[in-house]
Amino acid sequence: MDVVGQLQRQFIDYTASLYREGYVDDQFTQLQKLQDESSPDFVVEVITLFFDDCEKLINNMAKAMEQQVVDFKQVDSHVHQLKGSSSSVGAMRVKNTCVAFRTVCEAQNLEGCLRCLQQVNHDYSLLKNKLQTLFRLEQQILAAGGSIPMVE
Amino acid sequence: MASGEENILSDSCRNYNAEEFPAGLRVLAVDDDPCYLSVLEKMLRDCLYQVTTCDRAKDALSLLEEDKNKFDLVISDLHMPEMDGFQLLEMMELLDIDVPVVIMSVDDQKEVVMKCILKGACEYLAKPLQMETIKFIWRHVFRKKQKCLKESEKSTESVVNGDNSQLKTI
Repeated sequence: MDVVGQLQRQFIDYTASLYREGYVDDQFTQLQKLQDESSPDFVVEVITLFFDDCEKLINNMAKAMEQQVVDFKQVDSHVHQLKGSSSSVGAMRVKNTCVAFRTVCEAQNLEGCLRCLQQVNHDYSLLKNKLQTLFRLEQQILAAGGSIPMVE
Repeated sequence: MASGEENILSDSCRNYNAEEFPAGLRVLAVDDDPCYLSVLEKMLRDCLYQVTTCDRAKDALSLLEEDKNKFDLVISDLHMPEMDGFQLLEMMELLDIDVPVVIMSVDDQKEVVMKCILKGACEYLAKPLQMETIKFIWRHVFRKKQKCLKESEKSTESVVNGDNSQLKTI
């Protein structure tokens, strides 16, 4: 198989693993479908916005939980926002952790919240690595003169 | 009928042209989530709608107050800081801005949906929206325009029949 073919094969397998392992869901597919000639970098742009949002919200959550008296409503509002943006881009693991996070917030369980914060940070870091690898693969395919295969 | 009254009645029916739907539909999209606003904007543009975006309900309200005839439809997130979707609906009602509003949210509790409809939203949609849903959003505008025309015809009829009770008082 030529270089382009090999890279495309890698891309298809890697994308399939992201879905299989629950990193992304159908909404991520929708994002890819929206990418076209008029918006060739659409996915990267939206995902970049998402990562910025993630970092900001995770920091806000951490700050809120460091207070002497924790305002769980504040924490919950940050989690709710993160749940929204993660579902917008199809970041399934992050979204699911946010669902659990909201439950412990409602119960005002600080230990539970700290665990969830750790988990959501972990999910975000993992996803960031995975998607950066995917985007790098795309760049390599394009640089080798190939086209990005559509993964159904 | 005095020309002033005629203008008020036909105001929201201006620029109504069935052949033009749905391309060129002027949509005001409101969401404090920059990720979702980008996705929504792209989907709306792919439907050939004209899109204006706002990340705050207050900004959207200012645009609507400035000239409600600039927009055919508002599509707004529900949970936003400062002013949320409920408050936007309330303010639009207060200010007599009768542009149809579609509310969208990740939250899908029955009470929340009911509250949206009771406050005047013409539809509630769960986020993230599917492309198929966006394609048919223009039906709300179409229905509203039709309703407008019917009301306008009824009023004209009343005047012709010498019944002034249907006329809006200025």
